[in-house]
Amino acid sequence: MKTQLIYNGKELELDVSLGSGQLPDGSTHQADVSAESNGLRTLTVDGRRVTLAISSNSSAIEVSYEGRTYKFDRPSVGKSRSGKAKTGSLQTPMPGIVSAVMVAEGDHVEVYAPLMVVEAMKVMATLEAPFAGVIKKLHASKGSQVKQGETLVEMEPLTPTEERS
Amino acid sequence: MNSPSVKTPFRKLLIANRGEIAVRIIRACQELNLPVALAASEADMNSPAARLADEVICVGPGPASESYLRQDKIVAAGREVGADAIHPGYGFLSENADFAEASEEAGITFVGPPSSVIRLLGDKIRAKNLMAESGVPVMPGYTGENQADDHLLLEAENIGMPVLIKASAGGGGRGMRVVREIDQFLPELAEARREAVAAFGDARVLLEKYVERSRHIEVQIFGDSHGNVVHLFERECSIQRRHQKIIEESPSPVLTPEVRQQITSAAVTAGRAAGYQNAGTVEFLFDESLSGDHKFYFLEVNTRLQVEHPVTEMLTGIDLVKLQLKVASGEPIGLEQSQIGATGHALEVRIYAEDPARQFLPSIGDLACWVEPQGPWIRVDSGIKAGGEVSPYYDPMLAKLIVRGENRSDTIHRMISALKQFHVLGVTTNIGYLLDIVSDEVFQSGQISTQFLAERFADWKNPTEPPVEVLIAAALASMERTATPSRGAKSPTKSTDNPWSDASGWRLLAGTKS
Repeated sequence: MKTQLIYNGKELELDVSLGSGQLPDGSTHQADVSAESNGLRTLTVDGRRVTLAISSNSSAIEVSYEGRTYKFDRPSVGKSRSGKAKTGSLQTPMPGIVSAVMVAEGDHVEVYAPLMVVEAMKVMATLEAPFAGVIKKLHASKGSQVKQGETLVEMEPLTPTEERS
Repeated sequence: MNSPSVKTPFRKLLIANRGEIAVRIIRACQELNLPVALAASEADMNSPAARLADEVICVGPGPASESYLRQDKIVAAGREVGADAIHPGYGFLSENADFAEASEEAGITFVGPPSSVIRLLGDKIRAKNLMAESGVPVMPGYTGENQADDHLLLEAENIGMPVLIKASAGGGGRGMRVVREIDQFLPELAEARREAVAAFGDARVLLEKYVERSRHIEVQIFGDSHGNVVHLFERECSIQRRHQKIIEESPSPVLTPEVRQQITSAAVTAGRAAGYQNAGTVEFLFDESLSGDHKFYFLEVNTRLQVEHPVTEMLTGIDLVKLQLKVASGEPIGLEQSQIGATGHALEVRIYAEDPARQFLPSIGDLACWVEPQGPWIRVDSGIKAGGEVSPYYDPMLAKLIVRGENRSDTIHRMISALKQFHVLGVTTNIGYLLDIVSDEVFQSGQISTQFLAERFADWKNPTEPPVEVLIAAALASMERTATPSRGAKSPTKSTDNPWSDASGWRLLAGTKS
């Protein structure tokens, strides 16, 4: 069975088959799942036993192995990765606490106007308006704790574009 | 054999701290059978420390300025729970003389030096002058009362470039500026003063000759109220990122027995001169390139238990927290200098929730996985567990990993193995970075300085290609997810839907192509 993953922006296709099987390319490895305990998984790969930790959700898989963490993205289902600017949905680039909110819902703002500031341990990230428009929805208020990638502000352009549905 | 009766030094101890150090202090109290209360912020009411303490008292909201830094609330909490001693840990109020005084006035023993000693050593100008008078080697510089701009400029010219401007009330790397060109001195002085006033409310500065490449070597001392001062050997803490120590070890690979003798006795002299009591650390700058009698200079005394105290505990076998409590209760240290020995080698690394590849940006989130390494001579001091949350309110240090070995090389290899067994998911950590540092040939040679990370690890990145094991694990995890929901919950073929749940010889072949 084939499965797709994205690592560092690069798509990987992995072919994992139950039982014995032949794989087209040269890189073929035999693995046994041996045990699971304490949040850890044990795999035997080509005769070598290794311990890993795995955490997964609908969009990503993280693997901890020998002191390093590897993050894989799952191919997104029907959701465009680009076009954030035009839909006006602004995400926080880092987790933290909303330390300032400069706008209210319904406000008209210029392009690059600061909308919200997220702060974490002395580091500040300011969300700016990607275009001139109207604040449609605020998803956080001053003092809110936010996770990385969480949508905080939704905007729409002053003149609706063809992309609006 | 009956277990010896342990004398409880106090009736009840209040811990005015959080995280791993709160857990560390609670463990000492449990061994002493000493009831312990924890002063915790709203954000820490369910922390591992809060679960271990006999009682927990909330001292305010998450931000430290509204909880852990509120002297009034903490002293009131001490009164409320009936504590007769307060342990401040490190950071927060641990080196605050006013807090120590307020505790004493409330009839609660402050576990640390007397407030007058904290005040004296917190003033860098007074401390340095005292040390110079007592015969402790100090860095050439200016520590005078005349703080006029033109006078300081003249002194800076006499010292020669590069020169270091230090806030007299500063510490831990804060309020310091290096001046390399004399015409930059006055603008930098103005900046240093602004910082010093904003952070410490004290505009006074001292000037020192700046050494570009040096080592940070510190000596653990202990004093008691009977006038005894002993040392517990040195720790080298040269591996720093932005003035923040991240790796500490003992013994220092650079000290010969003769120089160790000199530096430890200088530390004891410094402690005696200050009338030191309880646990303290005398920090020295060590410059190998210097010829002559002294290669080290006094920097400052930290009047608290240090983050890296386990390094000393591992080597000497002495529990520093228990000794702190004993000394605070008025008892003598009870150990002669000749009874304090150190064997083997110990190494500590600090595990931070931060991304070393992105300017050490802090990482916050829920810990999907937290598995600590185990094994002989491996110690983990942590204040967090799987499912817990790394909150944005506090320092991002999650844990300390300390190992001991027969010698430095043996210890480093034990550390590498332990780091490889540390599994943290949900937040980005510096574990891979630490692994690369301790595996580095220059680090292993012992030729380190405080510039080591800036010189060798400035452009550090995690390895780009995941190994085969990781690809297979990720592939299995992705199948596990897609198989289960799409086939419906009623399917009886659970074991094949979820490759992980079948522990017996589930076999696969995986090929990769990119």
